[in-house]
Amino acid sequence: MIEVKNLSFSYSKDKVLDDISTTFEQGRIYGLLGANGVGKSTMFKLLCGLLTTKQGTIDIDGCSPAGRKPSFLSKIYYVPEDFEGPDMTIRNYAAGVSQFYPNYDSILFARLLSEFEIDADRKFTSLSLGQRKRAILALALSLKTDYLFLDEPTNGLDIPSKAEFRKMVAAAMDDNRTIIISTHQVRDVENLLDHIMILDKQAVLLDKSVSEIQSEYLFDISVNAPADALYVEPGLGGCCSISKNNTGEESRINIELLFNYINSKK
Amino acid sequence: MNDIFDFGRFGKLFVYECRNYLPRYMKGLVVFSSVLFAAWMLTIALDFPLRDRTDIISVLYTLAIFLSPYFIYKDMNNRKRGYSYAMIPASTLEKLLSMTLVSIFVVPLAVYVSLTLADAVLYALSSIGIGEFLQFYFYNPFESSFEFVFHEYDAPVGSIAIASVSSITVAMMFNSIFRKNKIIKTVLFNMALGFLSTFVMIIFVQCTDQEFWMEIGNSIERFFNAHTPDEVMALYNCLTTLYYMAIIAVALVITYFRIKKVNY
Repeated sequence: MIEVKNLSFSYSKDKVLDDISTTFEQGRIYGLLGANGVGKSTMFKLLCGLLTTKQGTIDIDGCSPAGRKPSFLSKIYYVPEDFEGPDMTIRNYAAGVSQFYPNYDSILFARLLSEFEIDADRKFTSLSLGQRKRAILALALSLKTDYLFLDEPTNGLDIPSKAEFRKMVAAAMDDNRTIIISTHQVRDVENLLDHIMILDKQAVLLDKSVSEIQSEYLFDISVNAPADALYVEPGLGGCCSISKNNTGEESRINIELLFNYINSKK
Repeated sequence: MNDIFDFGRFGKLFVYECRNYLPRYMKGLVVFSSVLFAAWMLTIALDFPLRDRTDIISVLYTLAIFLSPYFIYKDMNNRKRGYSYAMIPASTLEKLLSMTLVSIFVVPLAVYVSLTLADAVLYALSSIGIGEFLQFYFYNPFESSFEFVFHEYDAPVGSIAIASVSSITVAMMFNSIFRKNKIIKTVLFNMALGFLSTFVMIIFVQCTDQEFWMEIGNSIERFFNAHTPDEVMALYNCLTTLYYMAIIAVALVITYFRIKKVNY
């Protein structure tokens, strides 16, 4: 489990995260949402130990990420938004990296590459952004680390790859894993998430599980918005609205609408 | 799991770095070797004395070794690409040791082999004595390579080797400190340090009594008179060795903490 307590971080005078406390539990897929520059990538870097906390603590299974201990590093994997990849073939890179991860599944890696239609003997430098992304996602899922941090994983992926990505992440999930996905393209991960966290400049606006959100809010599309709607946006099929869920009815979460609603309240 | 040092994990890391990083540098060695061919062409076209060509090889060899950390580990503290190095599940000590071994042993050997092969090819192409490098450097690569730099000192191989190791570790240190324009910044930093120390020395000399320097001069003279040249040389070598060892220790400690603490 990841426990973040009173975490603050700033780049010089620019404060990004301020007194944030939260937990990320095992067996769940978290969606980390927020506008540009609110600190999503910073949060990932802090969780991986790539940045050092200035105030507050991060505890991942009893380890502080900033210590960069091998036992900790072998439990996590981070896929950054703009993964460039080294000047070598995917096969060689995977062979080198995977030896440090005890749960690596080479058969799964080969299968994922094949499903993503990526040739393992091609060099990263000869691939497009989307192909590089697919290759590193295949590796990230095959390493079977306890914690997987994906920063904008669907950026650069074509439509079939996005569907494939969703399928693979869902298949890769088990009770011992925690996957945190940061994205602006919420529709790409809408049905994957178990928990949604919305970050804002120096604050957490929402930190709730999907079931909590469903029991609290009712999402609807209708010609006329309900009179008691908390938030309404014009959509293709009519008015998209969020209302208080007084009936206990379960509706499908429209994350984009939820995001805009939460942001409108701040 | 031992989080400080594990031989098995270190072995994996060392092999990983040799396999993943070195091939990139070897491409650079092709450029270095091609300079050798260019020198050979100049030798023929402009009738250069052979000794000059050997000096060119010495400079190439020296540069290729001393600059290697800047190329092999250039991304280690890069904000965008450095994360992959930081996240390799190996300890800081293992990363430092692997970097040191690659820079001090593997690269010099690779450079030596590549330049020797290039020279052997030249020797095969023409029998005008180009293979001198092959013969000359085969027996004592360290001494002959650094003769260009240290020829006036007649220093023993051990001192030259430790001086070389200190230069490589200093390159490792500056590579870990500077994120961009690493080589230029290293040169500028050393020049600034040189100017500053000279300036401080001048101020110190001017502020000190003339008799103080006379006394120091006399002490040195008495020391020289009381000891044989061999003893003086032995002391000199001992002091320089200690000096270089101190530099190596400082450079390694700073590199260690940079690997451990660098933010991305």
